[in-house]
Amino acid sequence: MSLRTVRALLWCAITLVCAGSLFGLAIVAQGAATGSAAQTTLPLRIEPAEAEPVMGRTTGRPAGQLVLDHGTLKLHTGGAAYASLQAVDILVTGALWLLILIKILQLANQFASGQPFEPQSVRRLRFVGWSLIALNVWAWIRLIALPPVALAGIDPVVGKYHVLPSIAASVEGARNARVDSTYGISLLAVGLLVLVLAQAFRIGADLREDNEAIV
Amino acid sequence: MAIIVNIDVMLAKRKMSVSALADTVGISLTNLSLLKTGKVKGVRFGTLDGICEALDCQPGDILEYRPD
Repeated sequence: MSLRTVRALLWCAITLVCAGSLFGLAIVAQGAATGSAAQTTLPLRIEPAEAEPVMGRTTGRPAGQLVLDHGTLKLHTGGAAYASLQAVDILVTGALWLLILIKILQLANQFASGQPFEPQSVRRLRFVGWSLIALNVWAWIRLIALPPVALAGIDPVVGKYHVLPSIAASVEGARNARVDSTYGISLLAVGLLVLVLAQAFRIGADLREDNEAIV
Repeated sequence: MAIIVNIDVMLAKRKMSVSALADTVGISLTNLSLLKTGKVKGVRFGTLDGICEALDCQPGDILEYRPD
């Protein structure tokens, strides 16, 4: 892929991040202004799950199980605390992605100028690496912090289910509907890879500097 | 640095100008001036070979180690 295409895609991504962040903030601000409740949808994992036997068409014998172990909780609550956290989340995530994309765009421009091994490249790559790690850590914080705030405003007993945050003790004798949070490490791994690349670029910049001082 | 470059001494002995040496060796006058003033980190064997050939001397005539 040519650097021109990469730059065009980066501009598209920057526009999307700006538009998405502004749209999200506008919705939160509108909710705060009109006093309407914040809306959120949380994936749930149900334990113990209900299961129905699946029978074979010709044999009439059990051929498996239909396990109803996932659900979705749609909330129209959360209050000002939840809306504030949502706004902070949009601001932090949007700002970090925007900075990362701008730094990548600056890197692409620098590479296009034919001078990739510059100390500036190293600084930009380090910034991108640490920002990706920060985004991953922020995602974990959000997964831990946001659902309990949203759940604080509701009665945890919903029919035969007991709604719980992702990290909470199970309620004995009840069917627990726990918020299903996936603590991914993809951004962390990419961030570490970018930091390793930054080291490679630092070595490259040192070599280039040495090479330029040799006649 | 403890390495002293004595190109100007050899140029004077051979009555050769800096630009003539740069032309003969095939490096820029700027780089030769930087080398002459010791403002470089290293010299390629190819450059050293060209200088020694042009000035009819040994590397030791151009480079000298003088402890700080």
